[in-house]
Amino acid sequence: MTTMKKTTRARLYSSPIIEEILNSIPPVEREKTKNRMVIAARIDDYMLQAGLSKMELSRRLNKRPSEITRWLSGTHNFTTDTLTEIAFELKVTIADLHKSKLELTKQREETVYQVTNKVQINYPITPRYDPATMSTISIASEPQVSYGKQKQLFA
Amino acid sequence: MLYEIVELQRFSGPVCTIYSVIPKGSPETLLDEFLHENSSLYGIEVSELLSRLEAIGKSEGLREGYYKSDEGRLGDNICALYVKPAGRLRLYFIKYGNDVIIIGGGGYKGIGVRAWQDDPILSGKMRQLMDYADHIGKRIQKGDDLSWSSDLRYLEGDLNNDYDEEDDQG
Repeated sequence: MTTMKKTTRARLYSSPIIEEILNSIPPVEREKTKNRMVIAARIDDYMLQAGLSKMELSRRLNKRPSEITRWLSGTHNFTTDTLTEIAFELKVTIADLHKSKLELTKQREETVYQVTNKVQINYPITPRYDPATMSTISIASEPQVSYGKQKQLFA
Repeated sequence: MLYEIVELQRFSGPVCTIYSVIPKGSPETLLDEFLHENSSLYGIEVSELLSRLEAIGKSEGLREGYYKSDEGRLGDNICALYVKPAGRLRLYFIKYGNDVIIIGGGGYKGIGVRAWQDDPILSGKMRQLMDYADHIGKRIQKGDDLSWSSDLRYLEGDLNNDYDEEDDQG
């Protein structure tokens, strides 16, 4: 008979050899690896956004498809010129290609927050009439106009 | 088949959960074994592999371009991490979507070796991981003692699997 066992998550694990190897890697080398992978991920994302396949991008940039595969592997050390060509073709900036997934998520969340707050506070469009909060406002009353001066002019 | 699934604290992060397996009776994970076997000979490549794992877990998640897919049998989702497209070091893992991976063993794919079947060490590591993929897959499918969390980011249940079908049948 099969019985339900514990319902826990995996325990967190590390080991001396993992620590030893990770601690021996200079932080700048880890950052280089991470940046190569970030750029690869952003190229992949922006290709998708622009509706470009590997084949199409390779044709537009006059490169072999295998080169695009190498770019997307996150192992390629890009030159500024190559990045400029890629960014130009994908209609983004070089800075966009350096933004990590977490940075982009954070940026998106901030944008949504700002837009939401603008709608609530600044009323960029005519607010919907709500009798509960706007009962003292008459939205269909006659404008109050004084005709006194006009009468004097024609008198 | 007895083993414990553990979450690798130094690699697992907000964008990808990274596990490995400790076979029963072993003091270490399959990843530790891989590191012991390869770090002295291929130190630079091993360091680069670990940096890549860290970036996958904590920064970018698993992207299709980062690994070689379909390394094992059809449908068992075993893939291989590498350092450079032309590099020879392979670290096998089981892939569950882009959010969860289980790291297994691996080794150096010598020049002239076209596929893991041609190399006894790689074959051993691959077959070992295939067995784990098969066993874990069946447990998840059955859903009795292992399942996904509601956000599909974590395995939940009897991760320290001290239950064996053979014991139960006896």
